[in-house]
Amino acid sequence: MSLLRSMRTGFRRFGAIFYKRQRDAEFAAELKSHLQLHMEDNVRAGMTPEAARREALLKLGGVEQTKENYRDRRGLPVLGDTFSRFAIRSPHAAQITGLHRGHHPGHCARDRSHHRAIHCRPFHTPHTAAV
Amino acid sequence: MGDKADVWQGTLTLMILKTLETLGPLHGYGIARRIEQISGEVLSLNYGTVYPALLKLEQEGSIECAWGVSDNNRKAKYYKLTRAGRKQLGREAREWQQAQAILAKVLSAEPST
Repeated sequence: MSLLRSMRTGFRRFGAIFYKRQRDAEFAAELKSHLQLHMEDNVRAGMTPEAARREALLKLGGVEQTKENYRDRRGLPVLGDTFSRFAIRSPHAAQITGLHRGHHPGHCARDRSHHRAIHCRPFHTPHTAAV
Repeated sequence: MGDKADVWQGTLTLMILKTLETLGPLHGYGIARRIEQISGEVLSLNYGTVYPALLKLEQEGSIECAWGVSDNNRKAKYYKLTRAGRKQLGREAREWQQAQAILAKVLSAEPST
């Protein structure tokens, strides 16, 4: 493969990390169209709609499996996973979030109201007079 | 081994490029069907494998795609060959023919007595 072609592929695979949901939806639509076309052909060949659908799915090799293989080829799986893990689990990221919460007036107000709701308000007793 | 042959490693993209050159813009299902038909239904193709191969070719710039409407009035994604893809097809077809010729020579060699 030429250098230019490798670079183009690399850029496109890297770019695909950022539009995951949109591309997933687009491929789901493409697979749906594929199955419809195949089912129509099968029905024209004399199959019942149910058998036509079953055969189309079988020939595809499974919708989820196909999606999985496509996703692997579309992005950079290792890099994509690393980014997700970093964003969720990194202690550094958590620390930044903690600091941010501590200094943000909105969060402080929300925390205070949460504290009041739980610790300061009396329990709700439906029939106070009876008690 | 069954009656049907599996697709050899690395040949699917070549077959896709050739199909697009022969038939012009086509959707994934049409490409898969055409490859099976042209093999005289001898080739056992898992249709799901066509899509990662199409994506690979698209990422390399050999094909491009756009949504369109099929003969049955169904929305489908159509793939077409680019100029780079046409060049790639020529190059890969030559390489494949060379490999095939070499293999044929090796296989036809007489056993030494």
